[in-house]
Order: sequence, then structure tokens, then C-alpha cells
Amino acid sequence: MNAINNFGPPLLGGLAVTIGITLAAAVLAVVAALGGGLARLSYYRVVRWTAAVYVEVFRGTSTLVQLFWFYFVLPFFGINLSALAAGILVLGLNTGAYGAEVVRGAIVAVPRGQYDAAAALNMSRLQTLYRIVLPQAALAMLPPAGNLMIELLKNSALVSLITITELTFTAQLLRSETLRSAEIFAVVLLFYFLVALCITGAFRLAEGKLKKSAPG
Amino acid sequence: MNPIIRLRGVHKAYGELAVLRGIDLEVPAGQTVSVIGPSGSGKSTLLRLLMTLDRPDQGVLEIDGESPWTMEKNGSQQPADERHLRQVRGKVGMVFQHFNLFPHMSALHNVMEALLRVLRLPRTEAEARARERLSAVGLADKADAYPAHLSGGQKQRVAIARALAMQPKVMLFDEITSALDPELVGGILALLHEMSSKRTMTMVIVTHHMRFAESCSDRVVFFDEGVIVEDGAPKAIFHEPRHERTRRFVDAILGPEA
Amino acid sequence: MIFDWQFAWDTLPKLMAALKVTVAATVLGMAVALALGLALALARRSRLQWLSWSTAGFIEFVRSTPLLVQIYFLFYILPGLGIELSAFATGVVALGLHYAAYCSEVYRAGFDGIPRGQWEAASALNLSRYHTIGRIIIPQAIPPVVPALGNYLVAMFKDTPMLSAITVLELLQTGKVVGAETFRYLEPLTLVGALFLVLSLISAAGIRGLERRLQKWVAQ
Repeated sequence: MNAINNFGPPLLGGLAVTIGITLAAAVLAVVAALGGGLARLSYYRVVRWTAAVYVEVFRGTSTLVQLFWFYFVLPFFGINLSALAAGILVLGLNTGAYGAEVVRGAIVAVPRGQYDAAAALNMSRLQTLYRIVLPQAALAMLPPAGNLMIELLKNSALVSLITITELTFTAQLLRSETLRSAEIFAVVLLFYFLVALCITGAFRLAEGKLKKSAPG
Repeated sequence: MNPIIRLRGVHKAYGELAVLRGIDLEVPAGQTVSVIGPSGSGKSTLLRLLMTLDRPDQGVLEIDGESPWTMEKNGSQQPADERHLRQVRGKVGMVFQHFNLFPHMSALHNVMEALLRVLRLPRTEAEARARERLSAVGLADKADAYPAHLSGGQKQRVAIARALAMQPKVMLFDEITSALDPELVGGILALLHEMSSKRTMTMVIVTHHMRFAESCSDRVVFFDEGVIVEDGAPKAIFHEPRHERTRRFVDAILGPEA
Repeated sequence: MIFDWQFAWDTLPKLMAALKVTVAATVLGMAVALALGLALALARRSRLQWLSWSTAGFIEFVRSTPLLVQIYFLFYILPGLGIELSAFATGVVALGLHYAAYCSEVYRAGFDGIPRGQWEAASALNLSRYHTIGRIIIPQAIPPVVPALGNYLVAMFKDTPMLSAITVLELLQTGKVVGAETFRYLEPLTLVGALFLVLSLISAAGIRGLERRLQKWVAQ
């Protein structure tokens, strides 16, 4: 408990940054996942292939490698991102690539008959997508989305390696000042665990609500 | 008078499998046509083409004098755009073998959805019409129930109400009793009978119920192996078939001299 | 700024040497994960409630916290406990521990897939619990989950760059060092990314092949 009293306040500041980065990246990830997942099912081959390259490249390489590439290599192309922007961009795009597969899988799992019924009622393609397909796919997407959100939280620790003062980086600073490594990192692990628990809880709640509003 | 459905030389294959092999069929408005035949004979494919869910590989298909897949533009026939397709598609409605209700919407909202978004009716009007249609199929008290909480027969009634609410000129029924428990079949058939007796809508019914096909259709079409083998009045088909294949099929289902 | 192929070509030998470190960390880490994961899965199934619950808590905790922080934790704390490990060995332990938690869930799914009848048959033959698990359950439970374990092998491979944080000269760190020495990050870091991409695509294809063969094998 002493450890929490001593190191809690500065670490809480770092935790706030971690949560902020995670949320910002999550917003980007949702957009990228929906866009990427839908694009992989597009009628146009060019769109499908572009999305496939995005998904494969981000899933096939290391998150940390992506982070360094965006931070150190993009300036060579005249694109100078701040550490924070690079961090959020990479975390969001990385999670979005995994999310795109979730979205695609959930959409493909909607039975053919649902598309037939929507067409028979003369609904447009867009109406079919928004009113019929996505609401049904959403329930299937939620549990894997919750897992991805926790992966995102965990990956957010990586941005400490490009000098963003989030939770892990703050811990490193405190450690070099106090040399009390064990306590500091124990508290940090606990903080991450608690946030992960909150994420799990929030997704369970959302799932319960969605199930209730659409039983069966 | 122009027929509301006109098919000429229609072919359709799925991959290597030729399902329809040259179909000619004309249906005048208001007629009730039953389509019978062994499974795999192409009956359901015919309905999918009429509903414009699939397009023919070859031949002419017209609904109310218009082809859904081509349109006249600058004096020549061009591939249809989405708007033209939907304009033609709006004349047809369909009830499916497996209901295909939207599981995330209540019975009422299943019926209202297209009224609101396709016909763009005001909400109060859409709801009134939906409730009226649900009452007509005997489900006024199930308006707020979700499909998961309805029996098969109830689901099929909602599906019928949903299709009818759109007031299509042509209604297609694809083996709508074959996924139901036997004791629920009678009620659905009675509902169909009632609709057909009004003669306000053209109905094409794919069914295995020969007695039903005989008693309430104006015309019966016998399909086998992707072609129309025989087409005529119910009495003729069931009692004086001209083709051996028709006789064998009818005998197999009704029993000889039934 | 264009990609300097000559420079990239000159860098490649260094990166290939570092790739050996990365692959060694992956293979050793996976060995730890497979063994420890099985132990965790068995402890999770234990009839001793305290053991089963604390194992479940431990698995959940490890899965919910960042690998990078776990690496730091072990790196700073093990020497204090009198365990002097090299940075590389610490990294292997951290990777193994982290993925053991994931692998234990995979094993668990494998165990759950065994029909009750197999346990009952073993009881009916009066086999000991040890014998039942070792000779009857595990041999049946593992083959179907090999592809899932393979996926974690690929995931671990992609997580090895985190060892750079504790000074292990693996692939990414080597790329960075080359970049810092020459002020050209484009070629080394792009090559590092390409190497990861190629190797994980090949492994993923290998796992899919394995999966197909397994399905055939199970179907027989």
C-alpha cells in the first residue's frame, strides 16, 4: 500500500495519458476496422486488394516496428509526425487491421436470406447494410472487439519507447529517480490490469444491452 | 392486355449446373399460378429471377412490361442502373421458405422497416398499416414480439404481412409451408387461399401441396429438369395430364387415381 | 529521398545475423510457453479450488497487462531475487511467461473438446487421474489445437522487438543502431519490417497448411 501512496500520484498522471491515447487510437481503429472490413467485401477488385494489403501489412509486421517506422522513417518522406501523432496513428491502424478481419467475418456470417429479404422489400444496398446487416453483425463483433481493445491498451505501453510520457514511461522516470523498481512496476501492472477489467466490464455491459434489445 | 410476367427463352446456370433451360411463361395480372415439380427442378430459381435476386443468363424477363436488368436510354437498350432495377423490383414481393425475418427487429418493425425507408411513409401511417396487416394475419397481439419468440407459423405470418404491406402487384411464395410443423400448415394455406380468392394480386406459388394447388389456383405449371413440362388448368394437370412425366409426379405424390 | 538499394544490400548481413537472435528468442520463448502453459492449464483444472482460482487469476492478470511492462518487471526484479540472467534470457522468460497464459487457454479449449465419455472410460478402467490425463486426455487434446498454438508462435515472433527495450540486440534494435550510425533509417527499418512481413506470411501459410492436414487426419 505504501508503494501506491508514494508512487500513485505521478503514475496516475501517466495513466491518464495512457487512457487518452488508448481512447483516441480506439476511435481511429473503429473507423479503420469498419472501412477496411467493408472494403475487403467491395465489388471492386482494386478496393478489395488495397484493403487486403493494409490488413496483411499491419497484421504481418510487429507493432513496435510499425511505430519506429512511422516515427523514424516517415520524416525521410517529408512527413514529420509528433511522437503522439505517430503513436496514436500506429496503434489505431494496427488495431484497425485486426478489427477489419473481425468486421469482415461478422458480416460474412449474416445469412444470405437476410440480404434476399432486404432486396425483396426493395431496400437499397446502403439501407441493407446499415439497417439489416451491420446491426446483426454488431453482436458478433462485440466480444472480439473487447479483446482487441485490451490488446490496444497493452500495446499503448509501446509508445513509451518513442518518448511519450504515458504510464510505462513515467514508471521508467520514477525508477531512475528512486531505484524502487519492484514497487513501481507492480503498481503499473496493477493499473493496467484494473483498466483492462473496466474494458471487459464495459463490453460485457454493452453486449448484454444489445442482446436485450434484440433477443435471439 | 399485357401479361404482368413475361419470360421468353430464359436460361440460368449456377456454375456448371444448368438450372433453367429455356423457360417461356406469361402470367396475366390477377392470376394465381401454382408451380409444382420435383425438388431441384428449378422452381425456386424461377422465383429468385422473378424477384430480381438473380439475373437470367439468357432470354427475356419482364415484369409489367419492363426488364429489370436493361433500360432504354438515348434510344437504345443499356444495362439498368440501380434506380431502374429498384423501380421494377418494387412491383414484386416475396415470402421465403425460411421466413428470413430480421432477428433484431420486432414483428411490427419487421413490417414497418420498408414502409418507412423504401416507401417513405410517415411513421404514424407506416405503423397503422403495419398493425393492420399484422391483424389481418391474426397476429395483432404479437406486434412487439421478436422473431426468436415466435413459432414457425407465426414467423411465416409476419413474413406474409411484411411482404403484403408493400402492396406489390406480384407476390411470390417459395415453399412457404415446408419449414413448418405439419399442424401449422393448414392455417398458412388458408391465408393464401383467402388472398388468392380476392383476385387483386398476381400470385406465383411454389408448393408441394397438390390439393392446395388444385383447389385455389387458376393454373398449374409443372417443372422438371429446368423446363416447363406442362402448363394448364389444375383439373387438367391433376386428372388428365398430357405428359408421362407429369402423371408420374402427380401419382407419386397423390397416389394413383386420387 | 529515395530507397538506396546498395545501402540496403550492405545492411542485410547485419540484419540477418540479428534475425538469428530474434528466431532464437522466439523458439526458446515458445518452448517455455508450451511447457508452462500446459502446467497452467492443468493447474486451472485442478480439484484444489485455491490452486484453480489463483491460476485463473494469474492467467487473467498476465493476459491483461502489457508484455513490455512484464519484461521490465522481470528485468529489474530478478537480480534483486538473486537470479542473475542475461537480458536475452530474461526476455525469453518474459515472452514464455506471457504466452504461457495464452497457450493455457488454448490447451483448455483442447481439454474441453474431449468428450466426457473418454474420462468415464478411463475411470471405468480404473486408471489413475495422472494416467488418465497423461495417456488418454493430453494425446487427444493437443493435436486439434496445434494450429491455434502456431498462431501464438507467430504472435510471439512479432513481439520479440520488445526485447530491444532491455538492450537485446535483436532484429529491430539492430536496424535502429544501423540507422543511428548512418543517419539513414529508411532502409534498415523498412528491411526489418519486410523481414517480419515475409516470415509471418510464410508461417501463417504454413499454419493454414497444417490446419488442413490436421482436418484430414481427424476426419480419417
